[in-house]
Amino acid sequence: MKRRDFIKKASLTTAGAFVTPYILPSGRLFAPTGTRLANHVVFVLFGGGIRNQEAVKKMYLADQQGFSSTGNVMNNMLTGAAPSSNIVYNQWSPILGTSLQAQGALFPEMRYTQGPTGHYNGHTVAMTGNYTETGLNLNINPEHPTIFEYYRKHNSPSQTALKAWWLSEGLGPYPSLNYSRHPDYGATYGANYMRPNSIFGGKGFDYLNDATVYQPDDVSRIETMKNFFDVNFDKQASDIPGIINTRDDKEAIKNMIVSTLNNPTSLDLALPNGASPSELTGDLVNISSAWKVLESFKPELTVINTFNLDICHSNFSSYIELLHKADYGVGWLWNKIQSDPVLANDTVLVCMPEHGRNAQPNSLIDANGLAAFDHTSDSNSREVFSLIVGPSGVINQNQSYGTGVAPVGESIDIVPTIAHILGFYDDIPAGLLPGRVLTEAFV
Amino acid sequence: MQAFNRLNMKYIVSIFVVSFLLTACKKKVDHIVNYDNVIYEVNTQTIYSSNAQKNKQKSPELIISIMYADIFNQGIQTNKLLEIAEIYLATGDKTMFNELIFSHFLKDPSAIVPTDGQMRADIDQFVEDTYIKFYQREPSEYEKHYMINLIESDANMTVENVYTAIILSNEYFFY
Repeated sequence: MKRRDFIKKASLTTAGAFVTPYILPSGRLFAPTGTRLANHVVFVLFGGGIRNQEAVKKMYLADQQGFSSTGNVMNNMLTGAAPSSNIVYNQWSPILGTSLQAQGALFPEMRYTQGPTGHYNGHTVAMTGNYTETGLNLNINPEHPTIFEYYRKHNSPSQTALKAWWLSEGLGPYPSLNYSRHPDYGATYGANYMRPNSIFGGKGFDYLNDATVYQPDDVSRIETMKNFFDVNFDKQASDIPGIINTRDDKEAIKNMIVSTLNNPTSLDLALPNGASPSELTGDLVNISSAWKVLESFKPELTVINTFNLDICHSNFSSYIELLHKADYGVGWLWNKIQSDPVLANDTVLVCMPEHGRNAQPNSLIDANGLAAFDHTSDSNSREVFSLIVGPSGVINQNQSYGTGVAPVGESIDIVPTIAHILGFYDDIPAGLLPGRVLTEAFV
Repeated sequence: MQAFNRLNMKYIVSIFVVSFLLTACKKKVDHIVNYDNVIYEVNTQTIYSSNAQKNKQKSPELIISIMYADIFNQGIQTNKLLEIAEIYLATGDKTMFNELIFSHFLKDPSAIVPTDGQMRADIDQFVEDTYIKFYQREPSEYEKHYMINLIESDANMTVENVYTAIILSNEYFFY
């Protein structure tokens, strides 16, 4: 090709890139307005109640009476050397060469300013962007819309529930967080929900491993007959709880579940090389399954939690151990994301605990002589941190915002921040989100 | 001839008298039989004359119990129901879950389900039985006609296809 032809064609191609919409590897079409910062967000509700002392302050045992050992037990998420004395946990080598803190923006002193510091409240606040005063909410969907509903209602083009997922470590009230009871939102805009510890655990295997995934011909037959039956009945089964996927999405999800149950090795486990599966925790099962969902469906919005750390109510040593393992899981997940051609360099990871824990211990002492901590809404239990990690052109790298005397950010800011990343924040009606976008994090 | 008649009559009367004496004084004997492990079979009965009579929606737990009863002709055990309830809670799309668990029920060796061959052998009866089994009513002539045609015209239509469509239908959610 002659040099002049090459320049001409190259110029046309470049011009075309500016005037035509982008078709991204994920298949999403969007105009080059710059409104989206990334096409995928993974929000890890790094839950169970984590004190800043053992997390971002890297105090390890230094806040325990009679101990002075310090160090970083979260070697994947945070930068800093691991403890070297009084080791009460099995130290796993970090999976990341560079910590997530170095690959993003850390808000070490965020605040959970209102309402009781309960697990469900904390989850609700983080996922709805609104504080709630309600102490207990058993299996009732939250009052305010969740981030999933904002995404599915206001994102353009609208996406099916296959692109929005909520995976929880436990059951209890947590399945209710995939949509709210807000009259303008609700199940129609909800996310898919799964508790992998049940679905991929023993009970799931016993009852679902032989379930049928229908071929398109079967689907067509079933739909034809169902339509016939429904035409001959004058009522709608409208009160069915939960979201309803499209038929294609439903079969895709069924296929993912049944094929995983029938081929358990297809579920990559968030464990270091050589570690025994017996070292797997509920949190790591949840994280491993999150990767299965991400790998299978490339969702644009995924929220997962960890929860095992709540053992801190009774056993501080186990809390440290599980904190260390959950940190490994988050690093492992980030590594997986970066290995995927669609998700790599197009995903922002957000991590935040749902709340902290008390400054003063309770009366329980574990086998290592370490005191346990509850979370009863004291000022220490309102201290949380947040980590926002992503491509260097989108997220400020290795930056920290806020101090103990000048905190930056609140728990209610995560929902607006995710909406900002995915480009639909401005479309959310005024008055629904009292928090703000954590703009400091972005380039 | 008259003599013969008189003799005949006398003979008949004698037989009657002897028979009466032999049976009238029979000692009464009561037989008491104790049955162990009696199994009562319940015939599927129509409850509704029309689907218009159904106006209450079944709860999710009731749906699972009824699906089980419809397939196994017996109530679900409590521990099994609790285990299934956990997986039900662990899934966001409840209609998808119903499909998954229902297909598991159908594959159980103890499921009381006709084979595809049995369905084809008497489609008319299959359609009628299916409506009574799942809807507790007879199909209308139109429904019967439509379903029979549908099954006859599609050699790959299976019992599982028909049953799955039924449990996903709106009517199945009502009683």
